[in-house]
Amino acid sequence: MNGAPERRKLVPPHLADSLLLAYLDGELPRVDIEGARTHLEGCWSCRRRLSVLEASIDNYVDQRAPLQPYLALNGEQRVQQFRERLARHAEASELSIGEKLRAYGQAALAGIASHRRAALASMVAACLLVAMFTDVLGTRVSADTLLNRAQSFEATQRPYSGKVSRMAVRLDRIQRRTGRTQTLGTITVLQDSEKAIAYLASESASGDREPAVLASLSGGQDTPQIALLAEDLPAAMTSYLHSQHWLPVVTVEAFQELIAGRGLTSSSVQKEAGAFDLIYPFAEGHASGISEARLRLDRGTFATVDLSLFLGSPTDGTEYRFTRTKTSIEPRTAELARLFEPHDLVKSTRTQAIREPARVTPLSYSTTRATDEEVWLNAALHKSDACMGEEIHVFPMSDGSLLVQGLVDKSDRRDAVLKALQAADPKAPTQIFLPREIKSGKQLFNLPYQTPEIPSTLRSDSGATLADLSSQRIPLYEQLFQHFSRPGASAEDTDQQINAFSNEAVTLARQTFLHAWALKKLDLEFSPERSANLSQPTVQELERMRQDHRRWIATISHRQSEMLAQIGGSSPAQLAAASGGPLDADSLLRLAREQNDLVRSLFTVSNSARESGPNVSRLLAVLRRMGA
Amino acid sequence: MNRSTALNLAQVFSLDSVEAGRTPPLEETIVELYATMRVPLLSYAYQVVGSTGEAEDLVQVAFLRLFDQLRRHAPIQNLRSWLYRVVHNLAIDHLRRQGKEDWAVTEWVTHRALETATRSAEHDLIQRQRIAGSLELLNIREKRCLMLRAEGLSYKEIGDVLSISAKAVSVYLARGLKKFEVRNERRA
Repeated sequence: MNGAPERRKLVPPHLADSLLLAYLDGELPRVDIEGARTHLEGCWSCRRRLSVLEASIDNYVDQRAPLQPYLALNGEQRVQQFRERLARHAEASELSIGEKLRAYGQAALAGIASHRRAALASMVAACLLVAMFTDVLGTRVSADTLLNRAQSFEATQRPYSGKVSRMAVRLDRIQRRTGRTQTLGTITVLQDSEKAIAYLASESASGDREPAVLASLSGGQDTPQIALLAEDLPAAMTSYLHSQHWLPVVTVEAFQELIAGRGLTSSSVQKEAGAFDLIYPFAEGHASGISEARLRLDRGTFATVDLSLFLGSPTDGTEYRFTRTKTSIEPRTAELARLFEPHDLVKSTRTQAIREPARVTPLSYSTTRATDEEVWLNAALHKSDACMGEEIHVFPMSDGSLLVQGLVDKSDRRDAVLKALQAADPKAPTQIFLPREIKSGKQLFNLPYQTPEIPSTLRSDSGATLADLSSQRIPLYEQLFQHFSRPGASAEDTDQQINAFSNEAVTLARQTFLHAWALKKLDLEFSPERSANLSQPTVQELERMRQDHRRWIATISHRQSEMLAQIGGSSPAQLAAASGGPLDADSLLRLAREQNDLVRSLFTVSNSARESGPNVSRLLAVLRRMGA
Repeated sequence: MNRSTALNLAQVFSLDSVEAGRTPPLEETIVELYATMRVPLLSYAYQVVGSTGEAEDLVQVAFLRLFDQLRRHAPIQNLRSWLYRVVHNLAIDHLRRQGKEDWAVTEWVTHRALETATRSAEHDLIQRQRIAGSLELLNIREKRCLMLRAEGLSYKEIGDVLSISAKAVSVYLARGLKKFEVRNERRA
């Protein structure tokens, strides 16, 4: 666990000679040129190698020159000789009629060959037309093709100048197994032709109207929180929809935003009576809990009909269906125009069309389930001691992926953590910053959970808190002096021993606390609710990490007790571990905090006079309990 | 490729115009092309076979084949690499007929020394032998890639001539140069 961190090369590997040569020769693909140039600007080694290669080329050309004969000699004579030879050759090989016909045939084939791209494109286009407009041989049309058709249709339905479009969407919850349908409410969306803005009003099934919100369609801030969705949809699903900047409208554009973070690329089409069902499954164990999204299109016009999100199996899980109940284009009256004024409404923004990738955001632990991958990444952090009070966390992201993000004090520490993560299986994107790289707090995500508090005295220190013996005395100084003073030894030597002893005591107290903190952190990250889906080996790994921390707490506590015994703080009988069952993470953390405070009060300088006797007794009691 | 070569190539490929009599007949175009490209092709052929006489013949045969090819309206994607490929293949066939796989550079240097005995002083001969020593370190592919690159061919064209990929060309070139460089360093 405490393996010495090896230095990791942050500099990308040097450019290969072949790549450098291709760069010199202008043979590098356009996409690689900039990368090579940037590397060369920053890498002396490769720049030097480049100049060596240039020198080698010059050397080769120089050395080769004297070996070449003077080939241009008698040039005219040679050309004349060739002309005569060619005339004889042409005469001797005059083509017969058959050969001429064959030559024209070859020429025709060559023509097709030289335009084979165009020929191929024509054939593909013809096949696509057949696939799209016929059902010959049961041809299956891809969901994406139909989605494009629907988008084209939708483009013709947008509100033109001086108009406003109105769409009413009904939200139903359907229990697929029983077929029970419950209407949750209706959302009305007005879209302006003058401004990239939408007005959203919702009404629950009981007729309660909720405050309307405005959503900008031109990108920037957060999506609006619509009370109806927040209350009636599962939290994980709401969180995902929010992260995808999804507006509750039944349009192709909105659907594409919805599926952008599903973590899969597969799709399928089901032909229903009069409709196409476009089915887009989500990655297994997706953070949103969604298993599948469906968009139903009218088979004749390709207009969107409804949009469904499934939790659990599409056959016996829960379906949330958004059905378009009304669509109209209305004149932009003054009354309607006022709705788009941002006066007292909640301002919000929506991302641009689907052509831009949806923003991937971190999700909270409370709305996501832990995955095996998450545990194994934490195990890698555990191996590099990054679990010991460092601000490095594994974030579940809205697209179902994981991100390791954090802040460390020094670059060699970052190297060690990165190395541990590189050795881990699976891999995940990693962002570990140094304080100087943080320009604003925006680079770091908010933590996905509430971490246990770390005392400021521990946060500010990277190592032990050194006892200052220069002017003031630590409370246990007299006892320590008696213990360490030897006949003939100078007071300075004794002070040095006291100093070393105190430093070790403070360091051990800190380590004990950080192990207890890490144990509690594991409990918070992998609560029973979050860990329900973990595989058996992963659960065992989690338990191994917990035991690791417990073992360290017991070992260090025992060592601290021995140190106190050395200076006469206890009898051997008191050293025995206290009886009692294992403590839970909360109790261990509380005791660890107490022992840390006590050690600091005994072994560091304080202005206030303190009584050392009772504190030592209490410290021993705490350590015995922790060592159990 | 200079401007005059580009002009000739355009003439070669406008065969319809050639046949309609608006431009010189194919024979004349081939001769002009030969006059333009003779020296670089000869240089390469000479480095492979080691004899100016043989090299001259191989290059002329390559242009006769070009004439046949164009008269049959057979397609040629890149005329330069096509010509080098034909010269290369003819040269290899020539060497094989002589029971050789490669023209030994030392032999080539000796041959050159004999050819220019009246002009070369003794130290020139020693110098050539040193160069030969450097080139002997290279394998056939490395040597040919370097030769063709020195003639101004692009990696793709070299790849077409030797039937290897452009990426492999860059590797052979880099490796060849490195060997050359190491040998020179040792000597220094």
